[in-house]
Amino acid sequence: MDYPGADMSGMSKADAQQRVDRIHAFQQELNQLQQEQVFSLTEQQSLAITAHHQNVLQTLGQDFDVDVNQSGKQLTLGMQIASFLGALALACSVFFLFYQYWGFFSTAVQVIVLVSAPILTFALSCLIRCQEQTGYFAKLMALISFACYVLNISMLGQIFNLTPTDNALLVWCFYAAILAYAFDIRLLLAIAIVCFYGFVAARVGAWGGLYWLSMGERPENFFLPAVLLFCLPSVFSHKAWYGFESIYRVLAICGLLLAVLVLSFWGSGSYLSWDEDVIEGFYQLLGFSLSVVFMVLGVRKGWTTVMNTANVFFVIFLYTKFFDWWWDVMPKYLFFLVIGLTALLFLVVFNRLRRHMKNTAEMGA
Amino acid sequence: MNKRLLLIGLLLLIITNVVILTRVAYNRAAEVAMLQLTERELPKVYRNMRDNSAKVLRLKWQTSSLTDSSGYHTYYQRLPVSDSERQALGLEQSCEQGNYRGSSEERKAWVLMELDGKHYHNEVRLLQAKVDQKQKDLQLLLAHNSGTEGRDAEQQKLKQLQQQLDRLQHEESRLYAIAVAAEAKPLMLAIKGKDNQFVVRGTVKDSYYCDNTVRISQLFIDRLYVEKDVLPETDLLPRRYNVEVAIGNLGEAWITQLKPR
Repeated sequence: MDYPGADMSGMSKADAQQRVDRIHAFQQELNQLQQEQVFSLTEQQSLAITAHHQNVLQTLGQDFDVDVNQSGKQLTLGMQIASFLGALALACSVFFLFYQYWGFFSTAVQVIVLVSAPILTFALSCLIRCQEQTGYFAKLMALISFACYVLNISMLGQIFNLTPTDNALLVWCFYAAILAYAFDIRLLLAIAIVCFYGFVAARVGAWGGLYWLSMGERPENFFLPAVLLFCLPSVFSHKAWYGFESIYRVLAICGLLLAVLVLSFWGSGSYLSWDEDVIEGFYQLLGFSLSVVFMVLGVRKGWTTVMNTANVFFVIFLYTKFFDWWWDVMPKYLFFLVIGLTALLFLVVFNRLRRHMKNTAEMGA
Repeated sequence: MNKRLLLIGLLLLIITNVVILTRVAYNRAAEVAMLQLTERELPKVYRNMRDNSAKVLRLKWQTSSLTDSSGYHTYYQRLPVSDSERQALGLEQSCEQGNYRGSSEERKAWVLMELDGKHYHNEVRLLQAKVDQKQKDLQLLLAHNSGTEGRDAEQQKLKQLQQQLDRLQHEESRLYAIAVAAEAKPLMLAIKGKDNQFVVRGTVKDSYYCDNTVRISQLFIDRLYVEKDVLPETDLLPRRYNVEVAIGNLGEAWITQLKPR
């Protein structure tokens, strides 16, 4: 439906939902202003705006299947949870169904079942997506397809006694990413990122002579994929996929800071040839500095998830250090008192920061 | 929906399966080695049959016993290596004798295996000698007519040794890992003309002890799946069996025959 002032070109579902939310906020504020007699529209103007908004809401609801009211939003959340749990349960069911009966099948039947299962479920996902407006059932089927693909590769490995390889992580990463982008599934994007971490860390370790399954023994191998993942959403726009940018950034920070956290307690896992204590001290400092850098970056760029994740890591770095320094030497009541007082200190600092930002904004206005 | 993305997804599914099955076909195109094993070397992996109906055998192997600094024999899947071999494997240089190493990284290696050979028979001989010695000690003890407490303890030790020998002769695996190397070539040369030896890939780690040994942490031939076609008549594995295992072009193994004994 076309009408004046409604440009739908290049709009994503997230944009559509934001527009709906803005319309509702505008209507509420307008009512408030009219009640407080600050401002009033003529009847003609009011009718024109209402009609326009109704048209916009109707079109957005039809074209993007967004929630045009609060109860719809709550139901959507319920559907998302049901879809996630359903997908997990069905994926487990597929796994156990095959495990229970595979010993009774001949090798040829096993191979046919394993190869065809992801292909059929993939085709089914596409078919359902074409028929269904909400996309929930297609997403669910896509998750099952991914589970079938994992089963496909791992079971073929078991049946034919193949040597385990890190290439499995790469193909799972690709397939999860393809399904994530095709069907807009954040969970699969997270799985793809985890597989990517595993593959790059294993491959970098293998280049250094390490067996690929020992990738966890060199946490520095996770730095490179973390940096790549953090930069990726800034290089390629993810406007069309709601929440993908946050997932990239949050998992990148988690990967990077977790590796730093491990190294801050386990210097012997580092490639650096310094003294173990120096390495641990260096990574402790790096952990605090990176957490602060990400917090500032999050505030500046308006990346709430980045700021919150960095905040959590800063607290983890601080409390693990407190534990390291004082758990054994302090009486427990004093230890927890110090923790409590630190939390209060944080509250005071954040409160001041908030007030400072508010003042700056007011001065700017 | 992005059609190009979907096409890539479909191609990925097809290509990965084609690659895996081609690899399997290439590996099984030729039998590089053929092994005749029994349930001693390939015991069943016990599983809850209600949830998993697969029949899987596990390759059981050991290394010759080494004597540590305290004089005890140890069996921690360790093999002696020279400093140059250790360096070639990418492991740390040997540390000060008598100390312990911290955690160490796994490195890929080639392992030379021997079935029912010199190393196994040597182990049997060593244990037999121990049993004989213990019997002599006990006879001396009886001759000197010492107290029953010491005699009972010695008899108990003899019994344990005899049981150990019996297990080694009739139950335990006769498959021994006898050497490791960073490259396959020297090991391949060493096995020429010996039909009870073969080479497999695996991983090694530094030993916990600061000595001239490495620990074999795993072999890439570990679990072997019993295909339905190998044992079509029954869903249950017999108690005692002979297994014929083939190793293919890529060093991956498969069961070609399984017969009750």
